[in-house]
Amino acid sequence: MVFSSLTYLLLFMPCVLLGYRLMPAKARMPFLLVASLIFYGWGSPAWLLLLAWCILVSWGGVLLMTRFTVKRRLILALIIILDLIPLFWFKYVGFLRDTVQDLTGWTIAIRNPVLPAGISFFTFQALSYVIDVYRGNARTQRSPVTFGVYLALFPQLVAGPIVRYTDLEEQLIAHPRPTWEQMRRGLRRFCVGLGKKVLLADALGRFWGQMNADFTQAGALGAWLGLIAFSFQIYFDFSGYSDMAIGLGEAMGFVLPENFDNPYRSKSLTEFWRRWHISLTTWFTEYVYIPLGGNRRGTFHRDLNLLIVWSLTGLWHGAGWNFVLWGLFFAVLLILEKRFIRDKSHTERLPGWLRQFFTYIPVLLGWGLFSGFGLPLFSTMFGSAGFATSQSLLTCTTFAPLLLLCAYISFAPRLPKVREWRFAAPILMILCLAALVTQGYAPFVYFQF
Amino acid sequence: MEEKRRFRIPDSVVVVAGLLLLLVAGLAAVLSQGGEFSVWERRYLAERPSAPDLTYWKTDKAVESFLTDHVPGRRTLVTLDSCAQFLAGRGSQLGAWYTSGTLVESPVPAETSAIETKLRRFGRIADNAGVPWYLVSPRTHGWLLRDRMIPVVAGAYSSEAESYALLETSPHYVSMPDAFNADPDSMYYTTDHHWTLQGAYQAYLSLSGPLGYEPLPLESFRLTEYAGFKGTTLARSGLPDLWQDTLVCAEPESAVTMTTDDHGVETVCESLIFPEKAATWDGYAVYLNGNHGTLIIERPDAPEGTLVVYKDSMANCLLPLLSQHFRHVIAVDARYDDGVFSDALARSNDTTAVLYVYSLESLANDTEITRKAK
Repeated sequence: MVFSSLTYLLLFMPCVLLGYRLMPAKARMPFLLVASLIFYGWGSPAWLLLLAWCILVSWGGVLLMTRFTVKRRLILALIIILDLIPLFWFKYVGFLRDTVQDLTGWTIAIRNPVLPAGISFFTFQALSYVIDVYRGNARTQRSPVTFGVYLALFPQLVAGPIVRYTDLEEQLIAHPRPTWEQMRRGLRRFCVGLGKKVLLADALGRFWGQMNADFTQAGALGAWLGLIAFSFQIYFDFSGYSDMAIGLGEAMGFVLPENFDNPYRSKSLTEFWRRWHISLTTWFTEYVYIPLGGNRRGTFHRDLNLLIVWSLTGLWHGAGWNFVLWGLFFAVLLILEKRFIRDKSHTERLPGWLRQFFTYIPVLLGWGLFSGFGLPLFSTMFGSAGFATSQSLLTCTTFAPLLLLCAYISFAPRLPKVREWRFAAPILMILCLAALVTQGYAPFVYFQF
Repeated sequence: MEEKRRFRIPDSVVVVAGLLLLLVAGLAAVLSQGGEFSVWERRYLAERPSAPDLTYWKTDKAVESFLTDHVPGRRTLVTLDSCAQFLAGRGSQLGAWYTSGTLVESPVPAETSAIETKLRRFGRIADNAGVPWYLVSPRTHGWLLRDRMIPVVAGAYSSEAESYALLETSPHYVSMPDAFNADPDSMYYTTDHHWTLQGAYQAYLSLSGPLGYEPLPLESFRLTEYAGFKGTTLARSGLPDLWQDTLVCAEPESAVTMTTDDHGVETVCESLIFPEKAATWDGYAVYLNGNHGTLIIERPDAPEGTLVVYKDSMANCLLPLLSQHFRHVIAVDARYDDGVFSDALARSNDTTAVLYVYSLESLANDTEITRKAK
């Protein structure tokens, strides 16, 4: 089920939120687990088996690890491998097969499995729990229901934010009853997120779809504006989802971590990655970059660690060389930035908007790699198909007001806080329902990760 | 100074009322019947989802479609979204432009190879039968109005120029008279992509030379008017019914028999105009009772032999005028006909000419015509 579907908005959400609020304390966690499983299994019940596997392996494995005082590292490795098997199979086996086939010319008869929604997210959450308990940073959770809620909590199950177990531990044990004020605030934020997704991201997606359908028709103008639209689409889609997740969490009394902090306002790439998909960056920093040695062992090792982390970040986003390339692209840029722009006094003399611009351009080109259109896109952007056709000119003009609005929201240093406006939530909800009824719903971009 | 207290509805009331409103809307949709015909959208609404098939799970999509189609206030929501799209300048995404008081369809992208293929096949069919052939495909409403549009929108219609240029290279293409191009407001409906009787009459005048008949003045036909027509362009746009048209129909006074064949079901009637259709969702079916696979108009007292017409719905308003001059008009609509184009020619041994009447959209994009025009 997706947040931007009528099934969710008109049936699931009201029932679950009201039900959770009215439920006696003891029944809240089981209720939430059942609701989360319905949410996840609604589109494909078979995927529940994967979720169950992940819950059982991590919960049971950690119980086992807690009992044994010796060979804990071996058990940890075993749990991690067992957790990663489904992720590897569903996400990477096709990629591996294609790569081996391309390199060797062999024919490997393995079909591409359908990627279950959110598998990367809940696998990473499970790993965070296992590693935190192993390190002694978290207590073992003995209740499978409470652990199940941690992993399957429906607001953030399929597209994050990736919540570390330590962030939710106390809240899960307290299974809080939300106040009406929290529910109101949470629902307001949910509506703002829904608006970002349905009114902005989906419309931008339609524009990008029309441009990438045929780059020869799009011309340079269409390719540039299309890619800009994609950069906004992916931001509003994902940050909209995060807003909805955090809002729903709040409406149920949970505090989920922030995932975006106006990333396109960043004035350096390092800052950009501190503001974009914060929970993933935090995860990789804490569980990969720092264990590898971080920046403690000199510049060379730091750069090597960055390359490793960013290759993995690319692969986390998708099983394809374009994602690896995208990760390495940022690794190289970050290394260059750290090595050569250490003296900030030079860059800080530049006006803020210029620094923002110089940060956005590589990010934009990075999205070009990420999109998977690669060479045809870049060659069109640099003039291989002319400037524009009359059709692309019309489409670009048609979407220009939307692009300008999104650019303003993304880049402006200060924005009015829409979610605090009195009637913002009901107006946004009505507009979103109108758009969904007319145009249908589109899945979230980040579901595929 | 005492601070003015602002009344604030308690959070509990706001939250409960908001969630209950959504739930009631959802339950109302769930409890609705499903499968009924939506007059304003011109389509059947989604059927109630059946019990889930566990081997091929598609319950989520079925439920979503059902809810989407049956949510209370659906029409208001669609209108709201369409208005928002138009206000945001994205009306073309709904397949319609609003310009100077009328709704026009989006430009037809240039599909010259598809048109070339059709022209080749049209010619081959007529040549095999040894009869002359002609093609009528009028300029679209949007093209005719492009001077009134902002340049970038007008520029998009320039994609149609390529198609028109290609059509004009064919000696069989019958151009519309200047009067048609000069007065687009009279030639097309405000809410529909079809031409009006005036528009069709201009085609009738143009065809008189090639087909060899003496055109009659419009006044010599029996004219009837039907107000309140809301066409396809308006329905597709989702905009509120702020516009409507008056359908004007013309048919010759003399006796006529119309036989239609829709997938083997034959119907015979004595008129070409069907007033009872005017008040239905498909008001344009007032001409010829709508579209049919094959349609034969017989007028025994007419001077000429048989005219074979391959057409889309553009011809529906034109055929009553042409039928004045031909003893038989055999019309085939590829979208509803089971056979191929040559079947119609085999029905007659006194064919005077073959006429193709298609909108530019059909010539560019209808693959069924290409398939059947073998």
